[in-house]
Amino acid sequence: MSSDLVLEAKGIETHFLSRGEPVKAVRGVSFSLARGEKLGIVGESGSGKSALALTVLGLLDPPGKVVGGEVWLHGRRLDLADEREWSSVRGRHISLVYQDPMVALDPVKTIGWQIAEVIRRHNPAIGRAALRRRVVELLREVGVGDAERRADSYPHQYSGGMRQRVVVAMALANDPDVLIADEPTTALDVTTQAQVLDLLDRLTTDHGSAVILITHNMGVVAEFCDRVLVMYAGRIVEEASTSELFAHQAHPYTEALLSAVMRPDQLPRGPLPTIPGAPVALDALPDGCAFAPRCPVRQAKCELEPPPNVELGGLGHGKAECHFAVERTKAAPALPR
Amino acid sequence: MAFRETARTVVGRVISGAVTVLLATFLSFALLRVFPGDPARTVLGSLATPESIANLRHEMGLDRALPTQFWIYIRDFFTGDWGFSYATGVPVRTLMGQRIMATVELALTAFLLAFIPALALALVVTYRPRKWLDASARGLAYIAIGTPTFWLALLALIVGFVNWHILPGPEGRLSVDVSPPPHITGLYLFDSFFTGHFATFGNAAWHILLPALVLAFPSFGFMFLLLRVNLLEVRNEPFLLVVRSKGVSRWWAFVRHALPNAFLPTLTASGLVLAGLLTGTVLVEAVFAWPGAGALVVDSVQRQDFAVVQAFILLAAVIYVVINTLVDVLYGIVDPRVRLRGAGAAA
Repeated sequence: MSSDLVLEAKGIETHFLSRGEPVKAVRGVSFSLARGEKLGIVGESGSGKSALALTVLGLLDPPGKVVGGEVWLHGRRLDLADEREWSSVRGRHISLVYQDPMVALDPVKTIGWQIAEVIRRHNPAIGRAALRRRVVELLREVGVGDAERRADSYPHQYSGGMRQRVVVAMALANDPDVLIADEPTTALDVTTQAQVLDLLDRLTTDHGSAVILITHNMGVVAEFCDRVLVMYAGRIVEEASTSELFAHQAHPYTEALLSAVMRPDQLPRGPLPTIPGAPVALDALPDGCAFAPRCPVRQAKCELEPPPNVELGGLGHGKAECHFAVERTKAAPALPR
Repeated sequence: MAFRETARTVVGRVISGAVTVLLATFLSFALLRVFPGDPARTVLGSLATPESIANLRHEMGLDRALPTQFWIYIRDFFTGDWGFSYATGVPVRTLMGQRIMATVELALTAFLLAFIPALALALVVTYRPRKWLDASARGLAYIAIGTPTFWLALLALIVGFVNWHILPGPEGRLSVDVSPPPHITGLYLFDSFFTGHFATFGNAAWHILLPALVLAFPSFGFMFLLLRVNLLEVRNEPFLLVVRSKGVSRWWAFVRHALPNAFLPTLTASGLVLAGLLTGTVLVEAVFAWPGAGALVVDSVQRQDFAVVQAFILLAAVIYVVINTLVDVLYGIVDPRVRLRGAGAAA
């Protein structure tokens, strides 16, 4: 294992067990994350992004269950860890920025106390004064003005954008190796989104943290990520560097996702572009390609055989899980190299 | 700023509390004027002459206009003159004073015996969903709420005293051969413990156990159900996930974050339960011969000793109002969203 590899997930299988067939939210997902890398995971709602994030954080609660796969952090296997070991890792080596800042903070504890909690948890010996100094310093770093006084405020006295800054401060407090940001800006208005994203970008670089950014927003991906995983129905259907992916989409699903992105200077006339149909039911998956029922270029074989995972490195692209990935990539216009 | 806000809240609560007490005063005054039976005749007996009754009525002020009587009644109550017990001739305040601490001790003990198990059980049941455990606990709570206190009291006596001989019979707060501890608060458990009379403490604890448990049982069921519902609601709040993502263990996240949030809505109910226990000891005291205010009221009702009953009704109203006011003020201290409402808006 390369020392530059921070996090590695191998063949993750996460199911939600309910009455009847289990819902297979994550079906054999593998990926790795290099030190300081910014990795995007994109997909529609219900594609398994958040279940994957919770699996990597060891925070999946019943009825969710990790039924297979391995999670490695710095060569240390985590998926077999007990709650005690997990909790010594969370907040120290892996942390989370939750999607909705309005509900991410305890309403009856001060902002400062909640930031202090994560520092104290992993450094019990820290003195009161040092702890306070660190809390104020973090608040300043994420751009909370008058931090000394505002540390004693409660969440309801902060706006949504300010609360998300606090959540970012908590996530970065112990300089984690990996920060998982699950749709960190969806609950915010557009101008605040840009500010928070900018902050996240700058601070994760400063703190040397690698980022897994979970989003359905291709614009955010283009701005933020080095590399992208595209998820559909619990599997990674395409993986490529951001520039490769925007230049060429080896998987028809990725292509459809990108064509659904609107550019303000090129607003379409008539109905907005969408991906026809609904995501496949995860408790009744088809035999063939999970995207086949919605795919505009499907052929007979797509509905019968599961597609292979095709390595496209020789063609200047990442990987894709499509029967026609090679043909599509060869036919693509010259890729930027 | 926050302080002024709190002060204003407190003043508002105190005023509305005073109005409530005044209304209760009026009600208790009116009720006793409506009841059949003439206190003067009760005092003098059935053989008294009409003249002597008229004299006594004049002396007691019963021949004056009702508004005047009401005014005197309120003034006297709040200046501490609660009248005389017609039956015994002793001032009502003295009678109450002898009895009230026995009731307070019983009610406070029952409150702890209801609250602590209710909280513990609610935590266990909601921490991890276990259907059978939850169902059994809820069943127990419904039984607790539905069981008539006097029946449970008799049953407890029969089992604990008559059959098993492990608990004292209905003989009050101490065994006959044990003398009360030096008076500090009038709470025997407290007084005996802090003056080092541990044998007396043990005896008092042994005596208070059954009546307090019986009294606590319905409140336990009520508070368990309430805490359970509030904990279930808070348990799925996303901030608990965030707390756990900081490395706080699941149990600590539950105790330090879910519990305080779940406890806030329970505060009002706790106040009502405590007030209910303080004023609802009547039946239990009667069964266990507990020399408290409740037993005094039972005796007084039987003797048509209105002054005592009236004083008790008013006292109960004041207890309710005071506890509720305290709870409201406590909210302002405990819940930052109430405390800081209107002060320092979001940036």
